[in-house]
Amino acid sequence: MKTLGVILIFRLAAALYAEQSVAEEGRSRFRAVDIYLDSKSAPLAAYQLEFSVTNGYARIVGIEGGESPTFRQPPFYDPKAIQHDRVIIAAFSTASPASLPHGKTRVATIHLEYADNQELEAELKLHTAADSEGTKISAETAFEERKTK
Amino acid sequence: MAQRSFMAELSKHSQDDNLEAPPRLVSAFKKLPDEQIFVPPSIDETVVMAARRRLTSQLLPRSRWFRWRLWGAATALIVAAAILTRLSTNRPAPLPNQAAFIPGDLNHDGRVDILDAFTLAKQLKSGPQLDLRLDINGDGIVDERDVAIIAARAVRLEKGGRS
Repeated sequence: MKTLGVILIFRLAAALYAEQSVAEEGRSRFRAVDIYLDSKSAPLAAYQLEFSVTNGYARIVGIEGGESPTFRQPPFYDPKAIQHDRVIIAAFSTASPASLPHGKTRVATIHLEYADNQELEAELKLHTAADSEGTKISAETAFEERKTK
Repeated sequence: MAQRSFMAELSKHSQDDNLEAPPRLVSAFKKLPDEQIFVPPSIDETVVMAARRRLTSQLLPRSRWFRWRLWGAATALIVAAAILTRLSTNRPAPLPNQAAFIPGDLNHDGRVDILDAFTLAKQLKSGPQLDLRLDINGDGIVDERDVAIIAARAVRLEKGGRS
């Protein structure tokens, strides 16, 4: 009876250990998260925001620019953010107000690697946004996980 | 040996105790009258008053000097406090270009963010000679590299990307 109990404990421990190693092995997936800013009617000339993964299961592996030609270049970010879960991104344009985007626009895309079975939990905070005169404007932020085909 | 020297010392002391006063002194003491000398109370009072006057005259200047020193110190303290208060409250407000200069904080909002880089980029685009205080990298010219440095500062992570 005692031997049976010991065997049972060992089997349970082995199963737990195996499960843990699968997660550590990196059955991970790469996903893209689009970052949007909605400046309503104001032309968006500059922005700075902070993106962070809140459940700790993802890490940033890349950052690219947005859809508008003004913000197509990758934004400024600290390279230390790569392989971590928090980044501050910022960009500006000195182009004429007419060529600046307004309304909801994708300003950047953040590429993440995270565990396959985990949902994305993240936070997006706007630090500042400004129009072509450098005047601060209010803007709404949003992020969306890009659908994979 | 020690006991013998102790005894010699003791006998010497006992010889000293047996010393007598000189005969002339003894006879002079014997000639003194037995009755007490009467001193009138007025003389006592005069002596006491004179002593008191002398003592107070010695003490008074010192206490006065001490008091003056106290008053002087207090006045100096009050004057110093008044000057300090006036200096701190009436300090002229620094002009925008004289404000505590945080390198890169062009819009003087107390922090370096992308709007500072944007401001410098706009100034560069407009063309005029720029203040050398905006030469963030210290290479003697204000250009896009300074803009890039300000932008890099704006997005810098203090904790190295860990939330």
